[in-house]
Amino acid sequence: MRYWEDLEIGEVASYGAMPVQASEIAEFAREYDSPAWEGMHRAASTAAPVASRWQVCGFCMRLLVEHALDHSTSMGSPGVQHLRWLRPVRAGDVLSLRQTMLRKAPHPHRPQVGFIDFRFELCNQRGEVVMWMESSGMLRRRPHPEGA
Amino acid sequence: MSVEPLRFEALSVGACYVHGDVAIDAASIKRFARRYDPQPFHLDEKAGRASLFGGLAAPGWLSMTLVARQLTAGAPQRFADVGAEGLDDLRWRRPVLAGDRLSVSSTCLALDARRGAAQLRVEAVNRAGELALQYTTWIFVARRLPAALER
Repeated sequence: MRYWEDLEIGEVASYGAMPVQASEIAEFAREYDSPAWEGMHRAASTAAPVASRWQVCGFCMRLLVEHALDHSTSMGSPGVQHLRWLRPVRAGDVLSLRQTMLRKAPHPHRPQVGFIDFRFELCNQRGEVVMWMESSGMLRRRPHPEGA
Repeated sequence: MSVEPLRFEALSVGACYVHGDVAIDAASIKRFARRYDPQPFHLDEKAGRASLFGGLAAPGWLSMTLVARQLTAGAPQRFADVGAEGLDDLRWRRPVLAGDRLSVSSTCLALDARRGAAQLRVEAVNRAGELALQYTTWIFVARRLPAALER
């Protein structure tokens, strides 16, 4: 188990090699996108279909949950300070995530919870950053800090 | 009810726009969670109740996706949105639980005529009138076409 106390500022981790499927781009577009966005994907898809911006956020989350989040200590996220989409994500791309631990602070009212701030960079198979964000998470604190 | 989308020329700083409601149910929470955010409190009612959320909670990116869609597909007002660079100060202020309904609105904070971009503060309020989600974003909004090209 990784508690809030176990994470160190400056710590960097890279993980994942997630292939993006054309079928899941089409499925997301059908289910969640507005007709205007679907038109944009088609217009932009001379080679391979392009994932919507929100699906790219979903891919980032999937990598985080599958490779980095400890389900026994993760308590959700209060928000995202900044997020930028830099390049399109296309079917056939292979995505990985690089995370840098920026800051940590105890929760002001809940002694069992700590805040952590990360910078995430979502990269494609060419090493290009397709999206980055700085966001916060809440993590369970070690039950007996005096024994740590 | 296909309302005409608002073009860049129709926007003004300080104006508030109303984009309608989105409903979130347990089935849509679990479907999205299985594919993009498989954490116990998004997949299982009991785990949700035991978490800080206090119930089966929508993944943050599901709420975000549904709220953002209202800006381009909602009613009575929607934007002729043609893209965005990113977002800032996104806050999931309150859990969005199965059965919730969010009302989406936006306020225009600034306009950049050179780029055809509008800075919006977007808010989603639940049925109890509480702010559940908010963020700020610059979106690019299509301009009116010359009359000769409009159909």
